[in-house]
Amino acid sequence: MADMPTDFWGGWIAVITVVSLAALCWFVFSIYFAANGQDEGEAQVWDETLGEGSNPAPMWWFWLILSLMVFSVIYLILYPGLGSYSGVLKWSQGGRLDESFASYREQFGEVRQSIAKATLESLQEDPAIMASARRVFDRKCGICHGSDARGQASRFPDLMDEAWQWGGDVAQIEKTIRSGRQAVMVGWQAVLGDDGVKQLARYVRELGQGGQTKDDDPGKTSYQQFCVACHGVTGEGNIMLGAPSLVDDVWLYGDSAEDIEQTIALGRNGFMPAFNDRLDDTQVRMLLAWLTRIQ
Amino acid sequence: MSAKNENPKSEFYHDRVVTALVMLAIVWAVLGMAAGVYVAAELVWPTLDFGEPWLSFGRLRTVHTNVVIFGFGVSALMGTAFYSVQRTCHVPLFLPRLAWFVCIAWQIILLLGGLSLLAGITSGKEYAELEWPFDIAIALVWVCFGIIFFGTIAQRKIKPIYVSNWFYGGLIIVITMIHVVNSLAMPATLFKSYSLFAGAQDAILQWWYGHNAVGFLLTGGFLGMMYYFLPKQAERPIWSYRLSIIAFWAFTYSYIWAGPHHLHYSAIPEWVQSLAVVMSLILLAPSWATMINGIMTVSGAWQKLRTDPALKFIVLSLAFYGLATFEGPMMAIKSVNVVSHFTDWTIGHVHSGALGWNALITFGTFYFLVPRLVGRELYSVRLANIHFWLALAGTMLYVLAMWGAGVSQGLLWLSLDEFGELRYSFRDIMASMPPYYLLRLVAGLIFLSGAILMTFNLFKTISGARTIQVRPPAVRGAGASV
Ligand code: HEC
Ligand code: HEC
Ligand code: HEM
Ligand code: HEM
Repeated sequence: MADMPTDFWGGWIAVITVVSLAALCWFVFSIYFAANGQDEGEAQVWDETLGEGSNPAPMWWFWLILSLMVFSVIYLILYPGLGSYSGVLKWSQGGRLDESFASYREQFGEVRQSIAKATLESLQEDPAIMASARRVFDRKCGICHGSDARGQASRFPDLMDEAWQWGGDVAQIEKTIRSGRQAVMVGWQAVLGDDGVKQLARYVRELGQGGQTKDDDPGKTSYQQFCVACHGVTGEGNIMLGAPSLVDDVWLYGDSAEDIEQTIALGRNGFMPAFNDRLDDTQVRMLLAWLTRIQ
Repeated sequence: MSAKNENPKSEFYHDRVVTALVMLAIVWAVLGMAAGVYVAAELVWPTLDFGEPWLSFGRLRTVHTNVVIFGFGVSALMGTAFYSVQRTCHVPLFLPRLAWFVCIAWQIILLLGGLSLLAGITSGKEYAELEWPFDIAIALVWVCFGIIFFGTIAQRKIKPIYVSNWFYGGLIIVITMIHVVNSLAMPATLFKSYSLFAGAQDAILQWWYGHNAVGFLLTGGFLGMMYYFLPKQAERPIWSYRLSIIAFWAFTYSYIWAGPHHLHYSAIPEWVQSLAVVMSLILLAPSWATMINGIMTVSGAWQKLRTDPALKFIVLSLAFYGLATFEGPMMAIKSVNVVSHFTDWTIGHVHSGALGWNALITFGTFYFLVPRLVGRELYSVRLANIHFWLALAGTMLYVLAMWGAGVSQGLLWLSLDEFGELRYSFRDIMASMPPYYLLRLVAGLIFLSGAILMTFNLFKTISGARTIQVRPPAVRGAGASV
């Protein structure tokens, strides 16, 4: 009993349990088989017709409580219940868990090994595996990215489109899933001021829509001054930093002027949690196959 | 009612406070069940909260449980305890003014407490959500309740204490105790406090509280009601004195240990869980002892069932009591709990007890009690009979819908596909729930409409009348102490 400083209490718990159960047994049986004291003298009446009859408990009820008591005694001999006594079966919650892991491995170990090692193409060809992968995605990722992986506007990226903020290679996606990603885009309100933000946002928006931008555009000047480091000279982005491309007209946080102004003024800090400890190799492999499948 | 052998020297019984508590209980019943229906609807159409925080599921659900248990349940228990303790002791209430204080203070706590829950103020402990100022007030009211109750018993004119009073007494002592211990907290502001307990200790304590609130309030308290009103209504003595003694002590003993069956396979020690399994199983025996005792009491008076709606309600409630107390021990077995925990099965179990047992026995008791309090016939027996069928249908439908939903959830959560992955995601399973939830909503509406019929019927019975004045009768029987 690891939760107690000494074994002292374990003994007490056992004693209290056994003695009180025995006392309950004795009490039940003594009343059950007692001579009927109620019959002597006039029966007590509490309120008009309200009184107490002296019928004995039916026999089947007696057998019911007796068998429950016997069951309890056997249960407490077999399982850990009496303080620190661990029971004849040496059953424990941790042991139960190990057991069910072991039987899980026995049943599924082989097929899961083979999935973890298989090529993505071969997994993608098996509709049963793809269906299973979809459910893994739904369970682990769907809450944010949606069960169809189409994302949620302005919150969670669409994983079915061509644009990959952190890279679309299998290795890069795997890194995203296992280690998570933390995007850092600071706010520029203080540096640019309201007008500066507006001009820059207009410029970025035009860039995204593929419009021709003029060289003397004040937006372009600030872009080149502040933004190229991460988003690149032409706005192509940088997967090392998770800085998205600004020229593909795919917008994580919306494409309206207000959305873009807000991004520039206040910054964005998208966070994708790490799943390395929450998924095993098989599940990561299934997810990779599912995310990179050709639709 | 027993004008013939009244004791003219005695004071009148104090029944006006009983009438008030019964009426208030009815109002809370309708409000609380309406809240239940609303949250049931939100589970079908989640947007019904209209983006208003106070209409959200989380807040209204808490309002529902608090109003039905503490508004409806406790007001009814206080009223019936005051009524029956006077009659079984042949003395008027001890400190009747204090009884009025208890009645009114309790209603104020509920009203303000309900509003605080709507405002999102909660301590986060289930069935003990109200914050610390309320907790102090609640403790005070229960202590006063105890003073009145035990004070009345102390002055009794009949030496042996009738069995209903043991159960009411157990209710008062245990609820006061578990409420105080579980609510111990360090206040931070007027509406925020931090529990003195943390982690596994907090969990064990919370369910020691939660389970014994079910045990001594929703079960023990209502058993007190049963032991007085069922034999009164059947006009026969309770069937077996011995069964009631055994039932009381075995029940009190084993309930106290059983709380951790709410925490199977969690981080609490294994021996605590095992003892909970054992004690929950033993609990079947006293529970069924009481059921047999009640049914056998009526067994000589079956013909009354045809004409007397009040008795019908009480007998049916015993059947649901038997059902819930059979199901409970089964769910307490670990391998069953693995399926039932985290599913609507629990919700079905709760309401087979709450609707089938608590609500039905209270309805039956009120149909018996209200006409007696005002000295009139029930306004409409026909309406009461209709209510009986609505209540039965509502309860059955509710419980069946939740069993269907719960068992399918329990099995679907656990099912694996050929690669060892869960076969159904949470969303898949929730997407298959609306039919069950719709059925439960319909069940709730049926049950609620029955309760509204009863409200109409009883208010008609009361309206314009005053609580009649009754004196204790002269004491008969062996144990008379005066
Ligand atoms: C330190 C690197 C860095 C710098 C400098 C930077 N950004 Fe970013 N930017 C990012 C990252 C990373 C993201 C992705 C944020 C996220 O995913 O939450 C981003 C996102 C954006 C977006 C949102 C894209 C979409 O799809 O919704 C816009 C617009 C943007 N940046 C514009 C700018 C502008 C204009 C500047 C110059 C003032 C700038 N950024 C400077 C790193 C940077
Ligand atoms: C708590 C919400 C959340 C969960 C759960 C989640 N993600 Fe993400 N994910 C995000 C966010 C937010 C981003 C965007 C990060 C950023 O702005 O850079 C993201 C980004 C990604 C990206 C990068 C997209 C790109 O364009 O490069 C991939 C791939 C991804 N998630 C896959 C997954 C997978 C697979 C799972 C399930 C195992 C998952 N996510 C679970 C929130 C989540
Ligand atoms: C012998 C009697 C009973 C036993 C052994 C018993 C046992 C149980 C068990 C095992 C659970 C499920 C715990 C879980 O998995 O989380 C439960 C839940 C519950 N039971 Fe019972 N039950 C009994 C009688 C009753 C009665 C008569 C009522 C009356 C209304 C009742 C009300 C509840 C409530 C409200 C819950 C839900 C608690 C929660 O999770 O919020 N039970 N009971
Ligand atoms: C019209 C009748 C009723 C309806 C429609 C109803 C509906 C509901 C709903 C929808 C929930 C939430 C379930 C969930 O979280 O999934 C709930 C919970 C609960 N209700 Fe009711 N209810 C009704 C009557 C009652 C009554 C009369 C009582 C008590 C005497 C009661 C006691 C409870 C309790 C204790 C819970 C919490 C259960 C738990 O946490 O496990 N209900 N009810």
